[in-house]
Order: sequence, then C-alpha cells, then structure tokens
Amino acid sequence: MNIRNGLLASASALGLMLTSQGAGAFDMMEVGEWKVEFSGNVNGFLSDVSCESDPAGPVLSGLACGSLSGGDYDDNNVRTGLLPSWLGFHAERTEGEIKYGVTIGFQPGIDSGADLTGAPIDGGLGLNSTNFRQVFLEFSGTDWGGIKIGRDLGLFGSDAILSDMTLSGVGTVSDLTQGGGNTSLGRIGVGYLYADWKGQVQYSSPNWGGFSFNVAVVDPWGLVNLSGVSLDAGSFSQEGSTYGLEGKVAYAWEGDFSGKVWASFISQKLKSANPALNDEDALGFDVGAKVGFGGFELVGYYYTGEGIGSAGFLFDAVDAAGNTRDSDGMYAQATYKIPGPGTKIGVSWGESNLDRGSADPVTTSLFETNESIVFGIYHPLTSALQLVLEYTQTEASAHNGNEAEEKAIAVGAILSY
Amino acid sequence: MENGTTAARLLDRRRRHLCGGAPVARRGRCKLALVSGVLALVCAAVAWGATEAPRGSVVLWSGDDQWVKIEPQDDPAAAPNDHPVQLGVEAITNALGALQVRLADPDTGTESDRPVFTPSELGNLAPHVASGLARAGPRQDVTFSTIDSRPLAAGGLIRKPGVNAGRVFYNDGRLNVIFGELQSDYRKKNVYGQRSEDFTPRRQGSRSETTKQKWNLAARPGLEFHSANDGALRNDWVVIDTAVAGSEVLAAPQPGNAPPRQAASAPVVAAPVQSPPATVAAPAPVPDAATAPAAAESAPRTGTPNADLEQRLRKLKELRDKGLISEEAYRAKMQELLSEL
Repeated sequence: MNIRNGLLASASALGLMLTSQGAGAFDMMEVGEWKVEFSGNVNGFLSDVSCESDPAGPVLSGLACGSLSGGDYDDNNVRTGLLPSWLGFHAERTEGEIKYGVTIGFQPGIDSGADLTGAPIDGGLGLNSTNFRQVFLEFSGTDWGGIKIGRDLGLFGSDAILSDMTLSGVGTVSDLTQGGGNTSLGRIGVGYLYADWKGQVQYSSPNWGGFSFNVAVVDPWGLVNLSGVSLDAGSFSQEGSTYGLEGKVAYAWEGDFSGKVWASFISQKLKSANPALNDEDALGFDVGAKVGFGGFELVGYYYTGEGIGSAGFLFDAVDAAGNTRDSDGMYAQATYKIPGPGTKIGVSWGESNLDRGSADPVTTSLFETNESIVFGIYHPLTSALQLVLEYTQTEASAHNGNEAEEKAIAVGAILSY
Repeated sequence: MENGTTAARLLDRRRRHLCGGAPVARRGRCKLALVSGVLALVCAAVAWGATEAPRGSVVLWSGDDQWVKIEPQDDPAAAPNDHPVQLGVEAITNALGALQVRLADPDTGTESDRPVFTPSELGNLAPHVASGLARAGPRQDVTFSTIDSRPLAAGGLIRKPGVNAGRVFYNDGRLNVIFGELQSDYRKKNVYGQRSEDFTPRRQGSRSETTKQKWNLAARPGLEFHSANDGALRNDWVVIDTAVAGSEVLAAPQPGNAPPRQAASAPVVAAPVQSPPATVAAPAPVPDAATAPAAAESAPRTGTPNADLEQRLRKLKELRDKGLISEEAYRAKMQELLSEL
C-alpha cells in the first residue's frame, strides 16, 4: 500500500492514537552535603508488526522488516520502546564556586537479548537484557561552564532524538527476527543519525541569555558493516589513533512562542593501516529548530554527511573499497497538546538516505532510503503514568529497486519516576 | 507488496516516495525544498524568539537555578506600581522573613507554622529585591525564584529542596508578594538521561488568577491577604505593612525595648534606572500621597543614629545568644547593620 495513501485510509483509526514524549521529572533529596536523585522509567508495549518484503531480494541495511525478504511476515512482541527502561542515579554537591556530581544509569530491557537489536530470538531460559549507558562525572562553575568526563549521549544528533515524539513510543521496529531485544528504533535511521552513548570529555559553556555551546572530544569509533557490502573496522584495518570531535551551538528562548534552534557537527579521521586503502574523513553537520505556541509544537531537522554512515555513526560509512558514502536525512514533526486532559496528538515524517560509494555497483541492494511516518497520541493518565498508542509505517528501498514495508501498531504505557 | 517488474516498481517508487524515489535531479530539488523549509522554520523561529522574548527583563541576580529579575507587570490592565521605591534591605528581610506557611499533619490533626524563606534564601533575595524595587518602573515587578532544603522531619537528616517563586511590587504604601510557587517540589526534567537545566516553568504568580498552592500562608501581624474583585481573599497574594511585619521577630520578646524601625522601611521614591513604558509618568522625586505610605512611616529616623545602631546590634546579639536566630542570620544581619556606619 502506498505509504501516504495508506495513512489517509487509516486516518479515522489513527484519530485516537496516542504518543508521548520522553520526559520524566523527579525530585531531589538532600542527605548531608549531597543532593541525591533517582530517576527513570519503566515502559512496555504490545507491538504488532506486519511486514511485506520484496521477493526479488532484501534491502541491505533497510530498516523496514530488518533483513527479511521474500514475502509477508508478522511479528508480535511485548517489548521495550525506543526509550529504554531506566534507573538513573545522580549525586551532586557544591563546594565554594564548584558544583560537581556523578551520574550512573543502567537500562534494562523487557525482552531477551544481549544488546539493542542483535538479541537472539525468544527462547526458554533467556534473561532480559541490560546495558549501562551513562557513567560520568561532571564539575561546573557559573562563570566558566562545565566539564563532563565519562560516557553519555553524544552531541551530534542529540537534539534530534530528544525532540522526537517517538522517544516514549516505539516508532520503527525493524528487528523482527530478534525477539524484541532491548529497544526499538523510533526515528533512528529514518530521519537522524543516532547520537549514541560515547566516552567523551565535554565542555559546556555557560548559558548566555539562551545561547550556549558544547564541544566534546570523543572516544574514536570503528566502522560497522551492517549491510554486508561495506568495510568494518577490521577489514579497513582501522587505527584507533584519532579522537572524534563533536560540537553544538544552540539558542533557546521562552515565552508564548518558546523554542530552540541548534546546529552541530561530528568529525573523525578514519585511518587505515592498510597501505592499499586511503585514509578517509567522516564529517557531518546538522541543523534543527523547534518552536512551541499555544499547545502546538513544530520540529524541523536536517543532517548531511560524508563517511558518517546511517542509523548509527560509521554504520555502512564506506564501501567495499574503503570509499566513503554520502548520506543525509531529515524529519518534520507536528504535535498538539489538548488543553484540559493534556493529551498530545502528533504526526511525524522523516527519511534517511545513503548514496552509493564509488565502488558500489549500480545494482547494489544496499538501501538508498529508509522512510517512515508516525501517528500517535500520548495521554497522561496521571502526572507520572502515560498511555501510548502509536502507528508507524516504514519503507526501505534499495538502489536496485528492492523494497520492504513494515507497519507497526504499538500500545503501551510508560511510568516515569 | 506489489510484485511487478523493475520498471513498475520504479514507477511505484516515484509515486510512493516524497524525495527518495524521485529521479536524481528532481530528488535534489525536492530535498532542497525540504531543507529550505527547515531553514525557513529556523529563521521564523529566531524571529519569533526575538519578537516574543520578554521585553524589559533585567536579571538582577542568578545562580544555581535561582534568580531575581525585573520584569513587566503580568497584567497590562493592572494599576501601576509605586516604583521606583527605596526600601531598606532590613525592611524587606523582615517583611519576607515574617511570611510563614501553615503545615497540617493529617495524622495528628495538628498544625504548625514554618517560615516560607530560609535565612539563606532571604540572604539572596532581600538585597536584590531592594535593588530591584529601586530600579523598577511603575509597570514593572520584581520576580524571583529561590530554592533551599528543609528537613523532611524535625531534626531529620534527610532534607528536601523546595521552590519559592513569585513577584514583588510596592503599591499604596504596602509591599505586595504574589506567590506562584510556595515551597513546591523541586522538579527537574530528565529527557533520555539528560538532566536538563530547563525546569518545568516556574509559576511567577498572577494578579488575575489565584495560584493553587500545596500549603497555605499563615496570617501574621502586618500581613493581609489581597481581596479579589469577588471579595474572596487570595491566599497566594499577601500585602505586607513593612512597618509592622517582622517587627515582632526583633521586638516582641522584649516589648518596648527596641525602637520602631520605621526609618528602615520608609519608602523613598528614587529616579528610575530604566525608563518605564510611557503609559505612566515618571515618579516625582519627592513622595506624595500616592507613592508614599503614611507620614509616620515615611518619617526620617530620629535620635542618635549610632546609639540606635548600637542598640540594634545588642538586640541582635541577644537574639542570637537566646537561639532565636541562627548564626548565619546573625552574621548577615550584623554585616547589614554595620554597613550603615
């Protein structure tokens, strides 16, 4: 079914669908000199996915139907959404002009599996997955800004995912044969590159009337061959001798028309120890804006890059000969919060594109476009408990014309504490 | 999914995709249009931001998620304030220090009063509110938001931060405080593990709408609750007689011992630092009936200043020695008094 026509046809059914935003709020407690916070959420969804994949062959690294090809496939899961369930601990204190603190957070998933999307299919004696995404210390002063050292969300693309309405929903599922795993994809790879959780040393400027900037030296990452037609860190003989660099500038304001505009970049040298391969640069830029007025909120986002890959940083970033591939993507989102009940209705469209490298054949089945549209409604049952109903339609198309289409309905709840 | 030829699929893709399935040239134009749309949104957003940013907002003090600002009145139809006005830091400390919330224990059915502001909050707040009232124009208020921790239970180790936020203005010889937050929970946003410094917007109090509070303000000498148009008393809006409020803190233990501190609370109209909107004429350099309180309140301090000061210092020390005020409050007040020398 045509993705947009399909949405129109489903419009009446979608009129009652729910989505949510990924924000929790929590209180601080003070014990002696330390302020202590526990925060997080537990979420769970019934996820009903139907897939139509191309008999002609798969869409490599396509995010609709995962790696399936050859017809219809249905998959149901009780799963975690894009936002992992979360237990975060933060402690801070102030001495003189210095405020400092630590944050440690771990994220258990509902379903069996060792990691995000590579989990094995459900089976007996399986355990749920867990991972630690946050471990960092930070110290700051009001005049000079702050320093963060440890593992936390990357800068490039961070505002894109933080503004994504599917953060508390499910969005694109993709990992149909993986038994749910830990988290779904939301709009990762279908609108933005995942900011991911990275070891970093980050400087944050003070806030000057709404203007601020961040810059981070990031642990160097390796190439990932998700599609099977790329080079990975091993086959590229990648040296981990150069740090990555990320930066962001932002301006935010409050008022009846509140909003934020931002731009960021990501950069890392890809050095190969193989003399037959050239060193390459991974470099990406993005720009985005978010405005809110009278219950409405609009988000627009665009990124472009060379050698940064798609979905995850350095995923399928170079072809089989080590040449970088260009990529870009964008998404637009509109939400409206109904006065009174506080129910939020939203629609979001986005796509990510990956060009062929110079060594990729015209007939490659590597994906060219991953595209999705999401409808949802997000209803706060209480101040902490929110119900989510979401419909997501995702399409993947390859350079050789192979296609796959995935439709997902997710119903669930998220409880923030 | 349709099972057709490659050509059919390509045609279908052109129909199905907004940009990705279009021919290269058209795809480029399509993306350019989308990017332009995003950038247009950015420009519009910046323009909105520039247009809608609070005008005339002056930050007097900020730090650690707290602030004191001069901001426009919340209600354009409100009567102009008697600003600028010069009130002593001591007068404001006493007035705000007199405010208490009434805590009800549902288990025992008992009630107890607790100061709204801690000494630390008062130390941050009073000098900047005084400065703000002296700089504000008739169409401006002084807004504030402060945070401090209070024990969950008497003598308990675990303390819980609470937020006070509101607006202060001087009118008809009284200091007005409208609370938007009254010892509210300190809540921070946590989006995807990011402890945002952008909190849930703090309510600054409104002239036109009563703000519901978890606690009620307690009635105290020198305090009145503002009467709304329908005659109902607003518990979030307190009108303070600075000559009376807080005086019992110092004077009540030994009635008649300390002289009235009217002089410290006597308002003196000063020239505005920042030009107010043209709707109200600039205040006269000398207080008149509209801008100054009763003559007794505005009377200059009489007697020997140093003797007066000495007496107040003694009284302050006495209160500290009796444990009626904390060491921190004692030191802050002493510094304040000494600065008058």
